[in-house]
Amino acid sequence: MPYDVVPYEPELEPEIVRLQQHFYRDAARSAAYFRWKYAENPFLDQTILQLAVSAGRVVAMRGMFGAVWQVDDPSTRHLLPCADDFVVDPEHRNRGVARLVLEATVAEGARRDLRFALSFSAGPVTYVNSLATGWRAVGSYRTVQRERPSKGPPRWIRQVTGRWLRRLRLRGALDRVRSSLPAASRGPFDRLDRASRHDGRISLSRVPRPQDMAALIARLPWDGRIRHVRDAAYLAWRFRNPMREYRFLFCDDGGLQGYLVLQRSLLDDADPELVNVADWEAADGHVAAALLRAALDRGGFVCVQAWSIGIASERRDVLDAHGFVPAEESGIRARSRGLLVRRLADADERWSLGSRDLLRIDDWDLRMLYSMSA
Amino acid sequence: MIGQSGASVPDDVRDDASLIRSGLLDSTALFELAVWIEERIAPGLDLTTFDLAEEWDTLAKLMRFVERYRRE
Repeated sequence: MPYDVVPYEPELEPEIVRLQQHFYRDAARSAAYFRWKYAENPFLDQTILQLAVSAGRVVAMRGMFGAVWQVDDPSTRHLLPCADDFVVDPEHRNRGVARLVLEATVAEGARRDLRFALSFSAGPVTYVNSLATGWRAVGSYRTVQRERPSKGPPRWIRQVTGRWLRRLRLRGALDRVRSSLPAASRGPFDRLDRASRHDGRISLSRVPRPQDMAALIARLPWDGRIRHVRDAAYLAWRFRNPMREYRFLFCDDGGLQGYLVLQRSLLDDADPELVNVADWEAADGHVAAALLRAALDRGGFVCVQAWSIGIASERRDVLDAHGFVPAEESGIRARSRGLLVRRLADADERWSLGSRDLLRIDDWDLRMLYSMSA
Repeated sequence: MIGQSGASVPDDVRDDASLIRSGLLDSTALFELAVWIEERIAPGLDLTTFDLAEEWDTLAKLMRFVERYRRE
């Protein structure tokens, strides 16, 4: 079957949203997500998105959204876009179209003189296909989690049952059941939302404070490892992701001393009990520990996950002390949760950024915030 | 082997015909094949330690990969 691979044009947006409904059933939210990620991105004016069209329909897509990185010195800026949104219509799989859009996206990045692209959010299928098309694996995020023992059926049974109810489009019935339950059973943030807004130095909010958060990040020491620029514009944009819901814990003491961002997914297939630590900054270890303790005590979450890669050992100790253990996963599915890098233009270019090695996981200051998992 | 993994290729595909680079095996099929090989033949298979597109690109190469893994 012949395919035309074309760059994004605004008139194709309804077709893109239709294709994305293989992932996101809610068309309105899917459209909002697309606009947020590409049109409203603060770092890339032009959308990098390649689409395979067959008989007038978009049947596959691959995109890259803007991401700017700093290394060695805070004044440095490197545009290394993040690849995402690899979707192939099930009726068009195994016909070569996946490879066509993957390679066309890389070629478009090269045409724009971009040196490297990153992938933080590849699902297992995208991860394996990426390795087959020249992407290099940097390492895994070493996810840790803290699970609260609960009465009733084990968590994995609740997860599987919930997933099938949603797949069978019984979401409405599920929501009605959930709404009839006590508030604490309705969603992972319910208990947190009912907790006191202020408790000593730590306050809870549904909205970010991008200026304060960016100012804190700028004044904290940094060892020069590769990290995303987290300025106010980025943070304001990042926490408007329509597929996620966030809560913010702030520690103030004559100005912002630390923050912790909690996130949950609004996707139909998401684990409804899972909360992620998306970002976590603090002036010192005491503030970091107080923020995590406040989040866990007030939230009473069934399951909280965080990345342990890249964080300082004292921060890892705090996670250990609060009962976080490596998430029990094995196999390709688990190992595919990691960072990938792709060289875009010069085949002889070294895999480096500033003085750091792009393929060495310890040269990255990684945060879940960089991934669309958060 | 490919059929058992849940992926599929045409019956008449030649042993030296490209599967991955040609796109005959892509997307979920390639993933299913990787999972199947890991579960049945190569526990702990690390896809980052070899060139997937090269070493699995034809049926003949795939068989060589499997044989080599069984010997190790």
